[in-house]
Amino acid sequence: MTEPVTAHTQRFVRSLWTLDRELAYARHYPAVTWVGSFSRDIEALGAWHARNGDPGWARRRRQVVSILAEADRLSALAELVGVGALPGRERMVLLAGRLLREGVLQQSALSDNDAYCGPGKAAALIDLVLDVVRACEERVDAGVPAATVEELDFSPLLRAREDVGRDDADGVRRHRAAMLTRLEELS
Amino acid sequence: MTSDAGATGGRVLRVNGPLVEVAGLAGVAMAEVVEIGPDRLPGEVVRVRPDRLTTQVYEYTGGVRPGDPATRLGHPLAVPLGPGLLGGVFDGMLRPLSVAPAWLTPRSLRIADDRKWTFVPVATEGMDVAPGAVLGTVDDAGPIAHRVLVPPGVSGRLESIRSAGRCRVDETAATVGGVDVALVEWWPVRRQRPRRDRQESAAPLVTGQRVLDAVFPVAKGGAAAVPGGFGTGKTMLLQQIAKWCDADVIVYVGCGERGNEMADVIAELGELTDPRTGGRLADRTVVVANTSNMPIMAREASIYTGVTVAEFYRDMGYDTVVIADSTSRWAEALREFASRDRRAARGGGLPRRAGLRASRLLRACRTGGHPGRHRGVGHHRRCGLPARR
Repeated sequence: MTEPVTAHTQRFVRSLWTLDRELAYARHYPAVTWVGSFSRDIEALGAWHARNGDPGWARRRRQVVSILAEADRLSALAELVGVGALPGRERMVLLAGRLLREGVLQQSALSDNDAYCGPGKAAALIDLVLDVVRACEERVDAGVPAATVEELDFSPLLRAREDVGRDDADGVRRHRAAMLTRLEELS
Repeated sequence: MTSDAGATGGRVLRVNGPLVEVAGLAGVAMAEVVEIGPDRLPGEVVRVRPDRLTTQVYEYTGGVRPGDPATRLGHPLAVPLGPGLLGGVFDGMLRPLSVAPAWLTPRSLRIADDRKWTFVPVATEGMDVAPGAVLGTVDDAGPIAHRVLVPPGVSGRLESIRSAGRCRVDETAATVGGVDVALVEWWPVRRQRPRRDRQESAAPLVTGQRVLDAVFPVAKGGAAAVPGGFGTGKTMLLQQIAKWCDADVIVYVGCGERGNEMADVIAELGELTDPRTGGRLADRTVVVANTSNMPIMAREASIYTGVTVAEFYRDMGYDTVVIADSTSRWAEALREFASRDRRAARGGGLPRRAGLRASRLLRACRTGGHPGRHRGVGHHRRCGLPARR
């Protein structure tokens, strides 16, 4: 990033979408990394969303960014000590990071339903993951072993982005109840 | 746009790839176009010294020799803006590639545009009009209404306006304050088109890509850069944005890409149905292609050309996205020329001013409403940049 055109470009753009080789290698597309990217208009655009019918946009983004950062930190730690050594709550953060990456951030340009995602569907997908994660944490707090929660089949959640139509936020919400019921049944 | 001062008498001194030195032309301004050799290759003046000019030539200079004639045109590098841009593929100087025979010949810049368009007047005679006011529309120039505006710098009473009917782009559509306004407007690419004000971060550009819309959004009127190494999906991401974002007009500048990559982009745009109009997405796209095998200095100009086209549609009141893929290869053109001009290199072999020029280009891209337009619009630019670490 020291080459002058890149360096000057970074100073003058409002957003930087850094594509990461490791994400691309892991077939995580679009390979926009949450570590090296930024947007300078978060507050202004959060206010715009709040004025235009989505007051939760800024909160949702904050939660996504903090979960991703915390999951990155914990997975580095888990590589040293092993996942089994982490407390249940922290293992749920790792799970949350995985669900966000695979269920929300990844997007298939080749899928009819997923190539474009309307703002309502995007919000619903993030809310779905956040709700499921909260339920998982509650289960762990209630004494369910973290491994049992991790072994649950999350595929309806992960497939939701391709299963429902481009602007079908209600379709995403229908998956929520099913996922939460499955979690309730864990003991 | 011509002036006759010092029109003749120039001759070529030295040729070094796209760099041609010319002597014997007096009073030539920086950035003026000089035609070089018997084929009248267009060259832009990039340095003026008492005894000689340095020009960067936008065509292959094979066959140009010392002593060849050089003629000044008296105006800077300008492109024709008018109906017929949407759906077209152009080179860095906005010459149509889609209708070019096999290859652009050096003289094709001067081929007359014979196409006729249906002009429908909107303004009425006797009105007082200011720059940006709508004079009329051209309805057969693509899925979005082409508006003929009073050009920047022209205002006054609308003395006459053409009645509805077919006309060529260079025919007078209206006369405003003593100035004839045609359907086509020549505009120097390096000059930013004027605007009334700049709007800060009005609304998000909806790209349909979750990681962008929900986590790293960009506002209309903002610029974003996409650095990434080989194979990380830069071009794919930029194409997804071109397909799905909620802008009216897409300007795609293929800048030093390989010919087959460019061909893929064009073929794919042609196949896509526009999710908004049901027609072809290509019909509201302008492609400026300067592939790696085309003359390198035209690549340098092509980004400016793309931005100028986008500003033209912005002035009509449309949201416009400029996608430049990639600015690193644009910078290669700067490097190529600087080394031939024996200028000292900085980081990555690039000339000292390369970074500065990149940033100036980016700032030029962020714009607001045009004088006289009621609807404030931004226009957008993205650039694909391979990472250099």
